[in-house]
Amino acid sequence: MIINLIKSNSLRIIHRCLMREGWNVLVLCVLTIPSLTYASRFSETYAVKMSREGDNKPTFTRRAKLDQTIIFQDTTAEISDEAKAKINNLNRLLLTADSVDLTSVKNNPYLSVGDYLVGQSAGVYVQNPTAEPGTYQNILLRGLSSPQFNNRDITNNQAVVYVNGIPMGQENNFAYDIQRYDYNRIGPATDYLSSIDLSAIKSIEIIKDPIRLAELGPLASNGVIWITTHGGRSGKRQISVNGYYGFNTKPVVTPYNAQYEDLFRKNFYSKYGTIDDVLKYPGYLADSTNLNYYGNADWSDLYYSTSSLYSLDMMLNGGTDRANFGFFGSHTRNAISSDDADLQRYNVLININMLPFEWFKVSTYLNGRRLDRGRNRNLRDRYAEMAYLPDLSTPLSPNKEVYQKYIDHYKREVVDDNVNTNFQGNLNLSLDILKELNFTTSFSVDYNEGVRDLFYPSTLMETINYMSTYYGYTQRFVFSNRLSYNKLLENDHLFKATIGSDYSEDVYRYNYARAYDGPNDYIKLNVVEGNSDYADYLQPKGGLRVLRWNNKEQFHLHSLYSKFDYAIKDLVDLEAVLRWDGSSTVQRDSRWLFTPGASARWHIDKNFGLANLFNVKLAYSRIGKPVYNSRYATGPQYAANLGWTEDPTVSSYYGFAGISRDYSFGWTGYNLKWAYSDKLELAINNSFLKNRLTTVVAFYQTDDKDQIVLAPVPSEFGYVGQYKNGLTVRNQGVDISANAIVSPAKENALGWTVGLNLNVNSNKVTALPEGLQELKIGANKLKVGEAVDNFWLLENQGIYTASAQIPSGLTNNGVAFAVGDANWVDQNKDKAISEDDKVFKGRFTPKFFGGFNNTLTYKGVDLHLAFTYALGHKALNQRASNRYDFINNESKNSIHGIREIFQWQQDVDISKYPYYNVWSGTAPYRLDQDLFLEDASYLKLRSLSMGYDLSKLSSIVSLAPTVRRAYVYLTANNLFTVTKFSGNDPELVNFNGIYDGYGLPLTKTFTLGLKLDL
Amino acid sequence: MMLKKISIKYSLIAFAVLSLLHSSCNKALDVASVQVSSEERHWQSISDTKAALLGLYGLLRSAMVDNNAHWMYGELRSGDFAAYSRPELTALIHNDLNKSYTLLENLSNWRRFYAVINATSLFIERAPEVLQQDRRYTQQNLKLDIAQARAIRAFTYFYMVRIWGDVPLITSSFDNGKFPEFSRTDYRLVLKFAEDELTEAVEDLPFRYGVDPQLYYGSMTGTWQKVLFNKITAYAILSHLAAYQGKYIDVASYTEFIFDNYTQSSIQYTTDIKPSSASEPGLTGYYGIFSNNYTRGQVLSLSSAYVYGEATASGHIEQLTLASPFINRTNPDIYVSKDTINKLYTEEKDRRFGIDRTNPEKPLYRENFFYNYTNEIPVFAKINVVRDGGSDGNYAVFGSNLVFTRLEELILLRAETMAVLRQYVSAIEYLNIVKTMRNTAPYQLSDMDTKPLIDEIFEERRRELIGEGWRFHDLIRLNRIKPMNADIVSLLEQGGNYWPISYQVLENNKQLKQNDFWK
Repeated sequence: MIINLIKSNSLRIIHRCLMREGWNVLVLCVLTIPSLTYASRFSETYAVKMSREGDNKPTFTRRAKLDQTIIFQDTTAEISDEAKAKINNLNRLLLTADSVDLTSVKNNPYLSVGDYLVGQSAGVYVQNPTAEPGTYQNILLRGLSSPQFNNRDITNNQAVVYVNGIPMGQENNFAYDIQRYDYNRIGPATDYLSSIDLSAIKSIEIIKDPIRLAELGPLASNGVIWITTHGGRSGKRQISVNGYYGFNTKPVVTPYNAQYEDLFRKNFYSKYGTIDDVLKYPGYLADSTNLNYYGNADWSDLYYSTSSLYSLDMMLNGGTDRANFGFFGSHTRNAISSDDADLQRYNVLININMLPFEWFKVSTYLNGRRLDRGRNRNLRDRYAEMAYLPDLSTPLSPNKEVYQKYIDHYKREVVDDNVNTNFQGNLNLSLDILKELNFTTSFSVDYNEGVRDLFYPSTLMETINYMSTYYGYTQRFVFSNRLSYNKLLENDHLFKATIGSDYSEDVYRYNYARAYDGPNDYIKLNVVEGNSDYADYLQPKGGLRVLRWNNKEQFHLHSLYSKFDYAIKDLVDLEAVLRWDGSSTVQRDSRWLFTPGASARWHIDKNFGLANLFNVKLAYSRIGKPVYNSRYATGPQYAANLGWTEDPTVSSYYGFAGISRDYSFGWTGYNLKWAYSDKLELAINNSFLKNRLTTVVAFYQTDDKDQIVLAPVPSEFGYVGQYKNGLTVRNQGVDISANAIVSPAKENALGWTVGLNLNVNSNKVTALPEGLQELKIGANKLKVGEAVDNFWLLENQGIYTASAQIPSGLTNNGVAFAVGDANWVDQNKDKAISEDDKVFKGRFTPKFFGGFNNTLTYKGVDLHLAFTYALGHKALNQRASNRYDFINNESKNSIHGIREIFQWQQDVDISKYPYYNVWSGTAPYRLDQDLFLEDASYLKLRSLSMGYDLSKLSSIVSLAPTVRRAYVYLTANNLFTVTKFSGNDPELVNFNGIYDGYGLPLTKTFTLGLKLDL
Repeated sequence: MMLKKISIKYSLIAFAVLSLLHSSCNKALDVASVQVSSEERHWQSISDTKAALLGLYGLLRSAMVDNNAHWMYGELRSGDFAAYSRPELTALIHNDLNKSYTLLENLSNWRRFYAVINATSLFIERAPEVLQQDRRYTQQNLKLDIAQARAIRAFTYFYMVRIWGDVPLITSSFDNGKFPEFSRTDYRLVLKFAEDELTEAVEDLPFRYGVDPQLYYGSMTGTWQKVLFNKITAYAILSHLAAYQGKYIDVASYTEFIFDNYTQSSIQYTTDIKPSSASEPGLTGYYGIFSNNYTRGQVLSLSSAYVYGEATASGHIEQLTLASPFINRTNPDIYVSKDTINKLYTEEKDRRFGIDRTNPEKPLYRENFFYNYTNEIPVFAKINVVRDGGSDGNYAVFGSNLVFTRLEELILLRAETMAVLRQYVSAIEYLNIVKTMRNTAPYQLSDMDTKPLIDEIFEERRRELIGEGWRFHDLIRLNRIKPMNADIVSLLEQGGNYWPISYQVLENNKQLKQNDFWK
């Protein structure tokens, strides 16, 4: 069995090792053997000894259960195996223990890269604010490297995904500049990372090792998800077909109608309301005979409906020793039971590899994808997109009939097309100039285009209609060259040197147009006059007033690097990386950054002849952090920014562009430099009990230094602040992963493997610009020595129920406290509750997180259980705060005063909060207090799947002998969650730790699938 | 052997490619931002000074309309409006300016006003550079530009002094990445500076810009008279500056200049209350002075024209005052109660608002200022420019001008001045100009015993200027002349007429001290 597996999966890796050496040398190969039987991954180390010339038969010096003759008996081909291997793998990196075991993951209907990783590898934390398919996720490796208080901040923290060596461009966050609210980015706002099909993926590796990141350069500074797809393969043509069908179930909710709301509010009116307040009681609640509100609250029958999801893909590969190809095509629909949200995906991938000469390889990979997203119908998202708030005093009716009309109307009239088209591809040339000298050149392109056409009819929106169109793209090309030299020195020392150059150009662009109150509801698009002969060429038809915005950003990065490897026999490996990176987004005089890195690995097991694996690696590197925004590089600058808080996009005065220093952005001076990341890691790889238990323990410390932040300046110069280098965030922690074969798979016996991964992470701010000790950013604060993701809140001690309880003279910014107000701790004892009394109350990223994966096998049946957990973090319940603060929110007609249809349900635990005086000038239900802070720790059974390979049945074997595999499986997702969190789900929290109740629920999904290899 | 030769060739090519890339890379990394204009590219041509000059007006507008500040400061505080349900507005109306509302904190922040100060100083320092760079930019053009920048800066200081009292007086832009902390300057010195600046600027400011054949920035008078600060503007600011300090003799001479010369700036009285065409200068409605369709000159007004895409849902008093039937909104944020309306507008023929009770069964209403009087909550409709002022209220963005002052305001100021200077006859004459225009009974000298003249002038201001951001400042001036409202007098005594300084501003500059009243 094992022999077969090695033959099919790992032979190429051995070949590669041999190819690289070709001499009488001890080679160390770490083989990762994905196995159906041992569904959990395990690693073994083999030493392969190869004689100097002629005799191609290697000898394995470790107790590998390999049949050497099987591996190397097939040497009759015209060209050498090492040459053949060149065109049989798209991955140029060796896989290490940080790769994800995809065998069990592939049984799940997961959509986005983040989903594939949750709980699968130590140190990977995925933020997922909503279950709506295709929305943005944030993948964090080893914690937050910079503050993350807004949606736009995730760009600074997110790990970069490389697909077949191509770094995927992230959407630039500059589009948020023209948005009053950042709930959604304008445009389709579809996560690019949901375009990659899981079936097409051959391997995923999480790169955290400082030296390997240093080799990849600045784009990799937040860590890397290294994805390799299936590709061409020499040999007989093979076809694989995968498919699944499943459904997402409805959540269990407790809807309510106006009567419940009325009773809820009466608590406040009876205690604190004046007659005037009672007179202004909202109309829809005041009339209890109004059946629209006081009737049945059965909206949920329409809002939630079981939705189906499916996927079908086909993979084909084959070819000769000199040329091969791989093809992959798929169609996927993912959907969720809430609000008809779904995503459809089409994916086509082609890989062609050629070997015209044994020393010359040409290979190309092309991947086209299309995403079509059906979005939610939230009012908040709609009004934020429109940048216009109508009268919000009357909410949608909770009644099914009324809501049905609304939905029908919506479906009939609204246009909301969200299409993303992606293209990714590269062309690689590899030349063996000399036996020791190789030159590789590659050209890669990554392009992601988003289009959104939006139309809301006048009947939905007071009496105006709204349309907007968005077209934007992210485009990156990378031109890489590398020259590497391998030399085996005397006494079995190996020397390797690589020099290379990467040049990449990113272009980010959008064109956005918005129009209100078109002539009628039949013209749903902004149609312009297309004939250039007419005077109104390109003018909108129908007297539409179209407001337009467009913007463009460019980021060019040029890197020169060299890498040196030195191996002292098989005992010690030394590596060093030196790089020079030049960025167009750093000011000219400090544009180039030199960063070094070095590592050493000591194979203790070899040194002392131990039976189990034992090696230690210490690595350090410095990597520049990229900036995707040209504004810091510009230095002092002028912009057309004449807007104000609620209308930030005004840029002209009396129709003339007005230009000034960008006071609302902040002062950008000279001397802004690169920020960089200092990474240090000590990794210990062990195995025990004859390799039945393997462990990796990696201690790390990452200092993200000299980052640019907005530092305060006196307001008397008009600026909101000035940009300064100097923010340093330190992350410390340990990644632990352990894989154990509890009982090996045997005929007629239960096989059980366990994989546990855990990350313990802590972060803190270690420096701020200009020696500051504290820095306020909006409602948050950074303080040296404190975590970067701390909640900064007032401490709530309950309610003042009698005037005697109120300390005499206690005020809130000069307003005296009264009965019914919140009792906040006056931390500095100055008799005034103010910002100075806020304290740090906990972090929003977890201290401990990871996964616990089990695979059980018995007689060809396998069962996978994937648990994931996160502990020790908090979430701020804004949903509860908004619900209670109804007087302020509704009277202001603010965006917080919007009431969605799904908020007609009991989604707030009303036993947790006291009844304060909602009219009080002290704002007792303000969000920035620990009353709304909750423990968001959880444990989830994320996936349970069971499968059986039918091809093992003798009947199938005799009927269809060509079937290599016919695996049927049944999977259930989101089966249960253990948590103390009072909201819907502790995972559905925004990137900044605020829970607003807008996340569509992660409900149970059941799928049935078949994987067929022919 | 053959292979080796080829290989050497390839490696040479490879090295060549590598070295080529390295030399060209520095150039490739010079990518200018398209979002912003760099230091090197600015102050190069006449279009830069034009954009910078209009930017000053834009920044001034953004400071005055952010959070509807102009009306919050001037109209709501102690004013005639009542809040429908927004508690933070009630707090503001009742002078509880330190309550814990974001709105009040934001209104206490003077950053946007200092952005105007900084931008004007920078303009004054840098605009002369363009003379060397672009020959189309003339000395004369520069002179006009600098005069405007100085007038805008002086106005901004005056505006700030009215709100905060002592404010740091900073007269250069710094603009070098250094941000020294300034402490507050005695408001008299600040006003002195503003007055000196205006006195000089007024010499250079023209009555009209772009008088044929001399275009100003490529446009003619018709364009500029609606928006740019002119000589009359500067005199109007000077008048108020002096009036604020009680220097009524100065006010008299400044206003005298205005009334001798205002026609030169195409300024007219808004004689019509609701004109039906552009040929009639009027106050309200589609062709009224608040609308961009008004074709005459202005004294000091900031535009937000719908045709130029500058009409917005926020930053206009309509955002607070309008409701059904003008826009789709049940109730306005603020309104003038029926009691107050009845108290203010007592004459039935008053064109602004009057109830004609000839037929007591069915009274007729003149509803130019207040609409739906019969309802519980009348709608303040004096300033009502939805989009371009048309009747379609479906898409409620507002294109109204922020009219800081107009001729009627200035004539009432002149009347007030004359009254203070005891020249009652001419005071009454000026007062009656407005009264006649609004079709109300003229004030007679004999009325002075029953209705004190100064009271009547301020009552007329209250009626005429409601919604234009004057009420609180008028109360301050009135009670300085003649203490009559105990609350205001007590505020004045304790310095409570000023706003508190925002927490954030104090945090950013340790030299600043909170206003005593709000400590």
